[in-house]
Amino acid sequence: MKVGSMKPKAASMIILTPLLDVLTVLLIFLIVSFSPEEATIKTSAQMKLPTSVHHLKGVPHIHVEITPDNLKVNGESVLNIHDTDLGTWKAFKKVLSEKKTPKEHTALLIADRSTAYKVIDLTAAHLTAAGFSDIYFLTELKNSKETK
Amino acid sequence: MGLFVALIPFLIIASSFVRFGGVDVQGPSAASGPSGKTEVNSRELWLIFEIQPDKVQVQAYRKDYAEEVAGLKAEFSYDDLSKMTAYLNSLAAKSYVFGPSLFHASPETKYEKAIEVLNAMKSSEPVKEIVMAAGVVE
Repeated sequence: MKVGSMKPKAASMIILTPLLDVLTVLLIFLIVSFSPEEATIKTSAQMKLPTSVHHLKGVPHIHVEITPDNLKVNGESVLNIHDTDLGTWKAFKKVLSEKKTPKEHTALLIADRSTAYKVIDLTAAHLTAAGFSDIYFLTELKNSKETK
Repeated sequence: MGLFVALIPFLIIASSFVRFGGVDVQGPSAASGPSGKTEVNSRELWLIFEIQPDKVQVQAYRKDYAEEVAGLKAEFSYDDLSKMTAYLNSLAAKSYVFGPSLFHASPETKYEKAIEVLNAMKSSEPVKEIVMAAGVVE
């Protein structure tokens, strides 16, 4: 009878080199791609943004989002978009006057690509009336090569 | 092998996340109205981009949109907005300089179309300043 004929299994070793490769590439990619400013932008799950090839130049503090049903300012629902009565837009005007600071002249407008422009126009008119001289339209960044 | 192990997660992540872009315009209060300059530069064009559901019209005006410039009116379809960019570049090549460009979209237009035009305007080197014509509210 042979004793100890079975060879002991080699201890499994973690191969560190490819793991470090992955982590390094991921780290660089995340640092380059996601600035903390962009991380503050929150859009609704069903939102399909229009596309452009231009990068966002800074992120304003006031975010106005137009969903299929509501108009939101910094995530808070302000009015029902289907209510065409101009009186209801006073709520939006009030919120803007509360949130706007003297140094704040830019607002970020977030809307689905299928939104009717009349809603965008009305929203932009209120933003302008509230003293926002610049409006950024949030888009999905498209590779410029795709446009050619 | 190590390279592939690194490349696959990288490509998966790069294709999964939406990266944000943006186009910026000025509100009418920032740039509209007479500028106060008295001299009129005959080579300066103030353009109006009229966005309609099926096409884009570009009309050139003299200073403060006071007078239409004859012969400088063009229409472009959404299928090939690069022609619009080429048209603007051709005007710049003829020594025209652009004042503020007014952007106006009809209420029936889809937001996506308006952004397509804005994107093409921003991609055109001679267009420096885009002013949005918004409605008036109390």
